[in-house]
Amino acid sequence: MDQAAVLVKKAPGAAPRRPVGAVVEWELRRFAAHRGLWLLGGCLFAIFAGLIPLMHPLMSSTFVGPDTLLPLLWFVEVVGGFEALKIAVVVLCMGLLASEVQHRTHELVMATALPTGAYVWGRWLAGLILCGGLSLLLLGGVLTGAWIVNLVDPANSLPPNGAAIFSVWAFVAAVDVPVISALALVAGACWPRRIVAGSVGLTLLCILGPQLVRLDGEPPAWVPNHLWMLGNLLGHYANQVQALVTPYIPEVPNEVPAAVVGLWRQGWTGPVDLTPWLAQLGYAGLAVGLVAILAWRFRRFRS
Amino acid sequence: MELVIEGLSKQYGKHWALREVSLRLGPGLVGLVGPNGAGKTTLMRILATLLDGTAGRVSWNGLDTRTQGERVRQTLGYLPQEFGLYPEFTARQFLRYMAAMKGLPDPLARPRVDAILEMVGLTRDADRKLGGYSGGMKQRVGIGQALLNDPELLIVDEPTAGLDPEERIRFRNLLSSLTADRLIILSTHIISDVEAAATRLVLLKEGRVLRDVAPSALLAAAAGQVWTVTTDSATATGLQARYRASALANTPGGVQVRLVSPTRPHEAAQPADPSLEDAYLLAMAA
Repeated sequence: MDQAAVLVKKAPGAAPRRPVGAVVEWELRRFAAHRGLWLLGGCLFAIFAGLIPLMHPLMSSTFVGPDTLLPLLWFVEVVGGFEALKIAVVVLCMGLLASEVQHRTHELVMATALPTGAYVWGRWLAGLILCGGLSLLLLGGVLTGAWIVNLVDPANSLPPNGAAIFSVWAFVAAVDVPVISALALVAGACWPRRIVAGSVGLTLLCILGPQLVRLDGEPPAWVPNHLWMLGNLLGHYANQVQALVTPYIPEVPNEVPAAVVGLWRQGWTGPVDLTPWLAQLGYAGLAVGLVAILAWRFRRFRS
Repeated sequence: MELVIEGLSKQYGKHWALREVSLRLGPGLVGLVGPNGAGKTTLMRILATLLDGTAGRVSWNGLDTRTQGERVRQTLGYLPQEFGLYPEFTARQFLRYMAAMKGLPDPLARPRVDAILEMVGLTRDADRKLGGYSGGMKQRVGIGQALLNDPELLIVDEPTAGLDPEERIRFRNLLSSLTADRLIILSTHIISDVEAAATRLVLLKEGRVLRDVAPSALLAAAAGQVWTVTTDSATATGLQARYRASALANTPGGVQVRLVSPTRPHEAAQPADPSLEDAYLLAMAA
């Protein structure tokens, strides 16, 4: 410690200007400096870009019929993408505030003039930006996979309902990501030392929730349309296993391929009517409300 | 520049960490000393606006720390006893991050961070990731972040824990050089950390202020109550059991014990000049 350097120019204390922006900027820089996140993003992209091109030649169309194989693979791809995104959102956002307590950096940050609200909002917004980027990456992976399949075998065209995939994806990004990220942020803030258990619980809730919603057939009016659709997709996704084992276990009736093709053609093709879905963007408002409550009640110190 | 603590108490469940603490502190280096569990860290956290007291009031330059914490924090530098750093950041990035959180505009933050890095001797390692830093280097980063906003109120909790002897001396010298124009509260249970530079000592025990004195007054109070005895090891052991021993050394003539006691502890005991450590032991025994 150089004594000659002690006499530095006086830097008067001040309230941070644009504090939310400062928190977002630095949180994103921290993410950017994290090698693991780049690796995670790269892996997700590679998996989803390579899934269909790799599975297509590996899976025998005799199991499900040539007309069903590609739709089935697309279900795997799209539903897998959605679920991977949800898991990533839970894991990333659970640690936005909780990791400060775990890594014992919270006392340093909380003793600065940074307003509590700016800290909470800034962290959440940074998480949202990161998860938004991740959702784009997954979409890019899926579309890249389609492009590769089309390059290798021009007879297998890009999915005819690419617009539908994009629109459902956009709703997942616009509604699910904010809601799940807010839930994860709040859970992490409330139980910072239990983020592993919290992540597992929230992930199960996010994945099984849509399944539970669809158990009664038609969803209640308050259930988001895309959530219900995901529930259906997940059901069929799980049933793919049945479809694959049917040839070996004859007593299991093979009803799945028809159902897959039916949903694929009915639910995912043709022009997508976004009107009933737009109202459900309001669900993102729930997320904003949750974060507002957290910002209001957040305790600056955890022992 | 004044920190006023009035009747401050803090309760955790049924345990009182602080009881009726009242102090009035001005510029200078105040050593907050006491054994583990005395309530030092709790008091530091309350002063740093991280915790609220159960009862009582704290004000800094007339600002209530409970209701105007944000304004208090604008002039606050705080180094907690235990802290972590973001391992993915370099020291320079981390200090710039903390500067942004403290509200320093970027054009001011950059030269300030450079100056702080030089001050804590980390210029050469400034662009290395913090994950690879040693404990002492991390402690220096912690000290650096506390000084970023040139705080008028600097609170450092057990800052020399984990530092090697050379770094401890450097750190003490650094704090001594910073005492002008600011109030530094240094919590420690290592008396030598505050011996040279403290203008005032606050002794805490079981959550209460035991003494609030100048070091010279504490030393004066200990005059005539410090003894050295050179004896055999069995007698030395017996003396240690009956009196407070501040030091023990093996010498060619036997075991030399340094004892604090209002009365002569042994016929061979010779009076000795008290050190601050002796005075502290005496005060704590009172």
